[in-house]
Amino acid sequence: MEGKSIYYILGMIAGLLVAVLLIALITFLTNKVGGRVSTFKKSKDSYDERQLLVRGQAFKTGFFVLCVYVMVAAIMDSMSGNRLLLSTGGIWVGVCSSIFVFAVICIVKDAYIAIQDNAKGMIILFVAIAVINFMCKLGDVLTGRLHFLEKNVSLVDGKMIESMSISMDGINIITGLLLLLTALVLIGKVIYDKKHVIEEDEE
Amino acid sequence: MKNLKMKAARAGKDMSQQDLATAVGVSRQTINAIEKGDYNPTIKLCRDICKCLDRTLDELFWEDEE
Repeated sequence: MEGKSIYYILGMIAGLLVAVLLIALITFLTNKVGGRVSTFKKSKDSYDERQLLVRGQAFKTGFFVLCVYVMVAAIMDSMSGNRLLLSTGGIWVGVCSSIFVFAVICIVKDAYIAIQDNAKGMIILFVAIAVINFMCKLGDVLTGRLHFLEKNVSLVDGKMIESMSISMDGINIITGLLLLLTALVLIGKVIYDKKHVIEEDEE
Repeated sequence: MKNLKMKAARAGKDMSQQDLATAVGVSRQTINAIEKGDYNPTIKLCRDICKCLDRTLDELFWEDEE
């Protein structure tokens, strides 16, 4: 935080607090409209033993996806000086990819939603936070000030190499996309379950 | 291997999968997975299911010898 005034730091803290309050408010409103989502109240019994097993396997797979992503990023940088995947936004793409893989595995194997929650609540929460993330950058998009990709110059073997990198401007958009895609997978799962899961009483 | 004994015991008590799941504290999908033979429950869960369906472990979870 060198060179940053106390007001900058206080502003960051205030921003984080606003984000937490906003998520609490959205959770409250989601519960009001029939969704059930316990964002801050997960207990150890939120997931049953089968779900915990699946989540453990999904965590492992997500971790390996992140490892492969970092490896590919490092190889790209060392062999060609291309820092696209090693930039701030590039690393965030890797993190979001591994989280998305975890989420998809859990959703497909019915281990994403806690016992006390329901899919409606999760979908509303994800779409709401995705919209907020997109709206954060809407002003920049409309005024043409959004720089998703930016030029980067690095020195490789004594030569100046120009490459593109994903800027910090892209973080909100990438986060919004992650949440939107996860919500879409949840919606698809709900539709699939309605059509294919045979309830005992319907046989 | 499907667990038809558990399914029959549940039907005998006129319970849906969701009813049994709520009674033993697991998700409906877990009860479904156990009945379809896709998941082997722990002894603790087996005991909870047996208590709920008034059956013994042998009656619900012991494999019949061929």
